[in-house]
Amino acid sequence: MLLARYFDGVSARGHPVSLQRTQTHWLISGEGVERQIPVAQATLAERLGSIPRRLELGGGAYCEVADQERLHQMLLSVGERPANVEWLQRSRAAAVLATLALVGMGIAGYVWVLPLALELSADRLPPTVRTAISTQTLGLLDSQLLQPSTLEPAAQDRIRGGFHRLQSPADAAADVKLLFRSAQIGPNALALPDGTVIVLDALVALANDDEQVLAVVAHELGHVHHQHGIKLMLRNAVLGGVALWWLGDFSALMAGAPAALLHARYSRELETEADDFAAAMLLENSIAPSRLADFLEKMAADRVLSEGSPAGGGTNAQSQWLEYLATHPGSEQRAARLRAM
Amino acid sequence: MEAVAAGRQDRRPADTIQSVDLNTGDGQQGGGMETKQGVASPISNQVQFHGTGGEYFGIWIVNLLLTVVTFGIYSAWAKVRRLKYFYGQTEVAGARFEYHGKPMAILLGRIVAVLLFAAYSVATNIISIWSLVLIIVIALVLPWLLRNSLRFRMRNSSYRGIRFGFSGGVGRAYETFLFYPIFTFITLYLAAPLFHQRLKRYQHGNAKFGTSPFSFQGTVGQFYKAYAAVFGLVILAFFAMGFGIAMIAPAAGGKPNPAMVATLMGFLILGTIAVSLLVTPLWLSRTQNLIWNNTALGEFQFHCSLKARRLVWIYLGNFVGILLTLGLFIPWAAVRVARYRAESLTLDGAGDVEAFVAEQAGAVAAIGEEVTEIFDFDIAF
Repeated sequence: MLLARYFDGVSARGHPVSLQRTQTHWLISGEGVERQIPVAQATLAERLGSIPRRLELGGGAYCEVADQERLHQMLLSVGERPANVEWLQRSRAAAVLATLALVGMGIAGYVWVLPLALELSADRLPPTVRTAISTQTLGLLDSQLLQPSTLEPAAQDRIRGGFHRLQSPADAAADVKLLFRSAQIGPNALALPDGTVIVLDALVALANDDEQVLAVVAHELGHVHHQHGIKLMLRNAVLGGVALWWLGDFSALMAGAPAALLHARYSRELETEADDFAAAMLLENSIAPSRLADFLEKMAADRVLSEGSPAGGGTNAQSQWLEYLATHPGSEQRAARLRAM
Repeated sequence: MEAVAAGRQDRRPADTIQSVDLNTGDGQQGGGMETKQGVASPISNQVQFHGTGGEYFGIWIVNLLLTVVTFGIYSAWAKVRRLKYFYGQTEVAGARFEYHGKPMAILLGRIVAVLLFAAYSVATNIISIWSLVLIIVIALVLPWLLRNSLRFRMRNSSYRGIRFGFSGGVGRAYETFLFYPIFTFITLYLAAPLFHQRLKRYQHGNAKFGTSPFSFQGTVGQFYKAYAAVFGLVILAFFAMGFGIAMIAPAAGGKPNPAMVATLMGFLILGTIAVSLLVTPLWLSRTQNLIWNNTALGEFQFHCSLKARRLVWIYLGNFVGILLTLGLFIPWAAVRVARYRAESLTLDGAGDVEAFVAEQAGAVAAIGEEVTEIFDFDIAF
């Protein structure tokens, strides 16, 4: 005999009853309650953890059963099998398998699906969006960070001439522009998604000759060709969204540090990719890739002078941490790699 | 056997008391008991949560897997399962709660929410006149949607077979969800306690259980008092962080070097984590206690006695657990919070909890059943 509690859906009073299941009916019997409900008209809730199971009888009335096992046996005895998802949620093996499957999918997604998706999306991005992003970024930079270049027009024309004469290895983006600016952030160059390359005066001043400047520009063109800016943006959006979904309410604080590390690592990969493109482009134009290596070493030395810290950073532990956080691979590594090409 | 035959759903050891006679202090199992004089003495019914992390993990992990495999479609079914579990494991005065939401309605609501969010993201990324138009449209529609959500959630929750309800009007919804947030923003969040009071007044004041209305008596002054400690703590934290930065920065000299910047960033991140782990529990305990101590249902009065210290401990444990397990600890974390919040809540009164009555079927049809739940607007019960 299965003991249950009956509620009529009109008052909050619970009535102790006994519940019986035949092939065709549910039988409910107790003090002041006698009901026979055809099986088709009643709905038995699925098993969910250890919560009492409900048998909905229509019109708001229901029976609540605490003894899950007895109910389960009673159902089996009339030939009713539980739904698969019930077993899934209760089986320990299923939980472990599900965990492994999720972890596996997460890793596979990150290693294979994400790069592929980024590749495809970046290609399909409409040119107008690319242009809009670049124009807005340039506007922001010009208003906040950059000032007009102090380089003589003759020097600018000379470098620009050399730039236009460069053949690009893979018939890359047609719409490339070279702009000169000055800023307080040291010798740098940057590339925007629509093919605009910005070279800072400090970089031109540091270089020995035009070839070194063009080597850096080739590196930046590598970023444009491989659409690194767009990919980085999309990647951050996707990973941010996933972190928010996975961690839910707890995400705000936690996603920060791992995200920074992943971002730094991905950024270093992008830099290496740009270096490879630069090497190929320079070789195509009969310029030795070692010129870029020379310049990277010059920049490293220049940083030592201006920041007063040894090239290798502080103590071993400290420099190790900084390497993980660095968005660019170490200059010595990059130079060595370029010389080997 | 007697206990079961009498209709109690007891599977706990006999000496566990879940309600206390407020006059004599005797513990007992069940609703209001009559004293020798024949007058019911007030009973304090403690809310209990019976769920466990291990049990919820099985449900949670399967939910996740199916959600990922179906690209999110299953998330509506997952939400229904989750709510049914947490409702069904919450017990007060001898009975548990039930959630009736249908997955399709939830799915519809989620699709609408995703479209709104996508439109908003696109609008804010591509600045043009349309983004402004869109934001205004969203702001105008949101209060109505939120009211719908409240009605949906309440209508789909029940206790002892009687459904909850929400009778808040649309006009008041706009006042609560449009005017006060804007006002709060304009006053740089100084009006936040006012907004909170108006929100709870709308939400709790218009809630119903069957034919019986809830009532909310919390005043704006009480909310400001509750927030005072929180504001104080936040200001103190800002000073502390500023002081810390001022100490570190001069050591750098003119140019920022990477090592110092990294240290500074680390310090800021740790500081933010520490502040939120301290401020959130303090805010939660003060506001929740205030809100529930001022909420009544018929002859019953709620009481809430969350302790900030205990909450800090729970949140800290959750944070460490989730960090170390890359999120797999989340089911245990959720259960820990649910259990403590339930245990801190009591329903006190001399009335008979079995005397409540459902809305008439006719009245239900007139109000109408809402179709969608748009956002996870939690009544925090």
